[in-house]
Amino acid sequence: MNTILSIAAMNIKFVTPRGLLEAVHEVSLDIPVGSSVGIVGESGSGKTVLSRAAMGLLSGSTVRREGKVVFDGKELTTMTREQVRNEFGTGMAMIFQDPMTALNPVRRVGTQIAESLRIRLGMSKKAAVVRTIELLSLVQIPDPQAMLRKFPYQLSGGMRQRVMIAIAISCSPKLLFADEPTTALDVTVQSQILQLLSDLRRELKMSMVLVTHDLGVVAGNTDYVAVMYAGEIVEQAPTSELFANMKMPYTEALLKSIPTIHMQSGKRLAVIEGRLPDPTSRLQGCSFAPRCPYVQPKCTAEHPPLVNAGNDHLYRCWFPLGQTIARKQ
Amino acid sequence: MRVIKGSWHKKVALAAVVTMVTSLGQIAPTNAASKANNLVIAISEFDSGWCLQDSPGGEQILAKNQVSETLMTTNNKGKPVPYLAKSVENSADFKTWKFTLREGIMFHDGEELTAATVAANVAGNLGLNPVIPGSLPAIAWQDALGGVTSLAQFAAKVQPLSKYVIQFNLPAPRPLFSEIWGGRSTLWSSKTLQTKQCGQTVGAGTGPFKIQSKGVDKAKTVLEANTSYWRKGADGKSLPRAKTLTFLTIVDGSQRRNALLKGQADMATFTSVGGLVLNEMKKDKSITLFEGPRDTTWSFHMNSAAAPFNSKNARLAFSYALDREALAKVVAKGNADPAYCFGATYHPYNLSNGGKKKCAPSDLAKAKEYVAAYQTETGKQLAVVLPTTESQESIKLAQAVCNMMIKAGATCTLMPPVTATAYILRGFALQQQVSNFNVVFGYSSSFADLFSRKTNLELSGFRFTNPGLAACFQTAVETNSKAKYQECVGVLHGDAYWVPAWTEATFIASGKNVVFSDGLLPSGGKRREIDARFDFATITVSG
Amino acid sequence: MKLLGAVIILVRALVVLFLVTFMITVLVRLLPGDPVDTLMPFATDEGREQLRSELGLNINIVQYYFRWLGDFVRGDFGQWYASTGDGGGVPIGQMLGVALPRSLFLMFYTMVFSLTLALPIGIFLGYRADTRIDRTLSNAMFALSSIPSFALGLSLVYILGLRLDLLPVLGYVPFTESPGEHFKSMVLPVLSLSVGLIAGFSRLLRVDTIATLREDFVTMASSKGLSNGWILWRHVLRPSSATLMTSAALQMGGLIGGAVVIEIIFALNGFGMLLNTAIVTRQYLAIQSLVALIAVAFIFFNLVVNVLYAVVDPRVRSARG
Repeated sequence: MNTILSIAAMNIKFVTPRGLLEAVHEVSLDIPVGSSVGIVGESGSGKTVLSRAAMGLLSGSTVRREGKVVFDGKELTTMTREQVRNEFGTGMAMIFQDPMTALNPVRRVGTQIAESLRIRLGMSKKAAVVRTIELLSLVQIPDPQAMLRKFPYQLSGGMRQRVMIAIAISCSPKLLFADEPTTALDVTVQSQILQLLSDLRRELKMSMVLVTHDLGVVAGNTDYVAVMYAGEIVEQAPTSELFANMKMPYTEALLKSIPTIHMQSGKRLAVIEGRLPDPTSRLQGCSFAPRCPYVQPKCTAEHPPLVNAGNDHLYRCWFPLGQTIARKQ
Repeated sequence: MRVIKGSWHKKVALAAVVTMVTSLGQIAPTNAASKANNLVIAISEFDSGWCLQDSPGGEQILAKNQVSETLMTTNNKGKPVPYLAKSVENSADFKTWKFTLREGIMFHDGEELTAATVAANVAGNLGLNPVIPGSLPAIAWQDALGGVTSLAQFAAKVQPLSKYVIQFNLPAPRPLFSEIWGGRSTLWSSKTLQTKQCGQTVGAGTGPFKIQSKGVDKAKTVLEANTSYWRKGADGKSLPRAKTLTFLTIVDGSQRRNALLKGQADMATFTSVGGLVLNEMKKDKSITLFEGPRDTTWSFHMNSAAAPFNSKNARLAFSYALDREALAKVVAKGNADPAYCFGATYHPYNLSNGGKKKCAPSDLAKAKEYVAAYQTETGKQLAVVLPTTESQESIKLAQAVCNMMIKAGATCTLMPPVTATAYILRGFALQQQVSNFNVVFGYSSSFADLFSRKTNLELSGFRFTNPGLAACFQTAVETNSKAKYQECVGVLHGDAYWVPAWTEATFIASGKNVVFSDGLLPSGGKRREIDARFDFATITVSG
Repeated sequence: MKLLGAVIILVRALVVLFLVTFMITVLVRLLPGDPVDTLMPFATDEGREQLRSELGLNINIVQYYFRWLGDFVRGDFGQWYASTGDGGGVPIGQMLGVALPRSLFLMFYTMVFSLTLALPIGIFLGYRADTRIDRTLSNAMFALSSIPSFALGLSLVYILGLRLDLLPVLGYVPFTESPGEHFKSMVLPVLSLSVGLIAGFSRLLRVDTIATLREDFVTMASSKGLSNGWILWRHVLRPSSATLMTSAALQMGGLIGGAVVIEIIFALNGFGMLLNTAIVTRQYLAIQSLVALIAVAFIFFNLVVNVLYAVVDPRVRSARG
């Protein structure tokens, strides 16, 4: 299988006044060409950091990055910033979580889209405008001509997300990172946007990394899923395999915390008790142990390795689901 | 980054930068050419008006006197000599004075100088016609003429005998009457008198230069050559030699020097107060520095009509406590002499031996004794309150003096600063105990007389509580006797009505381009006329 | 809607102007001493009476204020009195004609120069926040800004004027007389005033830049493959400039009347010097009119900045309706 992006043994630490904060720990992940991979986890699990680091967007004196990232046969981690930047837009692009904060509030929508076309593709001013209108139509924005002169604050959340998608796909990237693309949107708009992303992906033959906290989102929109917890991948499988044969208690907890339309009124939404462990000091045992309903003594003593259950299904648990274990009181 | 084709604002910015750079690049030869014979004089004083009641200082008088002239001037030996007057005669009793004017002297507005114009100027100064009441010279004139309140009285005392002859009939002998024309009593045309402007923005005198622009920009007075000026140069050619004179106010002393070095000014005036800059300029070969005689004495004047200086003990305490050597050192950085007595040492009425013996010198021990004596006399501690103007020098000086008073055991505070005019005019109305003036200017005694003799001077409230002293000065003026003056001055200082502090000079510095065509200022030489009588008419400046 | 917003802003400015000028009128009247005695100690009785009525001392302050306001609005700022009373005064408008252009040019060049330098420096320091170069430069700026402008001015005179013989050491040349000499005459005063401003402005911009750089849209811009320079200039500068603009507007108002020390040193004798002289010589009418003009300038520059806010940040436009 050809991979478009390959992450190997990635470690990311931040220098903070409280000490070294470990955001991503020994993560390896391959994105097959043309596929859609979901990265799922709570906020703080390291999924956003991972995706930004993979793309090379994390920089600054406070970031410590180790590991290897190969994109489209090129090793990004050994390239200069300028060389990496050359891959942006045309090779990789990203859609951000909050379209309000990710679009520049003081620049016109048209300028923000055309800017990529002009700088990255070297289009003339006229050609860039024509292409911008095409892109706006592509993301199903009505009256794209009028949209050119608008500012982000004048648009609804859904429209803004469409604009952001238009920016991301403007230079026909091979790989699209979508970081919580629907979190900030209404439920009805969410599905429209997800549908749009799926359509575009097929149409433009893009690979996609869909970062989300919502297992429901990955269910219908991805081929593979990687579940992250406390900076580590704790479970990874083809999407159908994962839902059919869930191994990690954490993945199960995530699934239970999804509200569904069929939920009985009055029934409380399940929440995952406890908090993520302190990222400045890695636990000796399983990171999820303090919150795990099935925790065993071994869990707090030894760190579980990532094991392969077959069918491309990896998990990191001493006592995976499906085995008989007494639930903690 | 790919360069995107220039938008309009980039083009504008580019054009602006190009304009600025190219215009900065113009090394202006135009200026050098136009500079020739356009003399720029840097002074420190702003133009607050040339009317004498605006109390212009020496530097503005310097500018004014290039426009407006007087009947008499003083020669290098200090003797009054005729100027706009051709000759002066007086009766043996010094009561009748007859001035014969030069003929054909024209004011800038075309009026000819006649005896009638002179009379009109005196009438104006006296506040008669036109009314310019209460002017400083009015007091001198009222004093000399013995009081004039109506035109009828005026006509009896000031008589134009013919077109060019005017006679003054004085009630008392005045051997030095002609000096009244030597100082600030300059002549304006009749039209100028009627506007009451006395050169605020316009004004016609007889001087070598006429007003081109002044008053609107208080820091710049531009005068242009009066092509029909009456005096001729040593070479027989007409004066003035310069085309324009520009008096530029540059308050900062070091910047006046820098302007000279840079050629932005051709000449600049300084006083001893700018001691540091003066000492630097003395070492600078590209600047010629002329020091005038040290004839301006700064003195403290005691208000003997009110506490505490109605007490002789308090006055003497002040005088002994005043460390003149320190003042000359601190204020003038060695460019002034400590003064113990009236005027400079060569002043006709200066007491022998620099006055050190007869006048109260600086003596801290004695000062402490007099402070104690004052306490015994009044039961109170001596409390001195010093007035200040807004100038830094004035405040610095007052602080220095205050420290001396405190050393002697008195208390001392500073009054809030007032304007120079208010300081002079209403010194005592403002409850000042003591004032600091430079009234002894030059070696003409007339102005000093004014202050020392008037027993009830409305102008400032100065009053001698010793009637004998006033009578002494009256006799001295009437007889012009050096011995009599010295006797009066002895009492003046012995009882510490006046406490002289230091005697300083005026300095004029000039750059390389300035040429003293008539050899009036030999290189490095001293010349008495470095003051308000400085003659700019003979100076040329090369391009 | 937009028109209504503009009208509201204008009305608000007028109300402020109204209050400020009335306050000035009251304050000037509260100055100690009899203005007639101070201004015209030698005037005749008629002259004094005339001055009393000109200064409104014979009518109540509200009446006087409206009379003064009427004159002021018509551009009649009163006259600079001569001590002799009638005849000698100079119209303050005429004196302003000389002094005001100097101060405006000084202010304009100072702002253009200091902003031109402060923008890249501030952005750069924000971009490189907490690196060694940021700390070094920031400290250097702080040190520079603590040098009093007159000391800096005199040092610049010595180095650029005398030693290197590049520039005139003082004076003012009108633009119309010689543009080249005009620029030259402004270099030293502008430099003396600018150093402190550059330090202050770039500090403000640095802080706001650091905040802006944390925004998502900056990461977004990087993900588009734009160069750092492009991102800083096109994406970061405008959203970071609100504090800077406010401060610049205040400085613009302040520089017109407040550069007295520099005006003295360089013998520029602009508006600041005129106001200073007016206060020292108790030119009551001049004080009132000149201070009112400064208030007008402050309000004007604030209006300009309000408009600029809307240009720089379109969200402001909608907030105003």
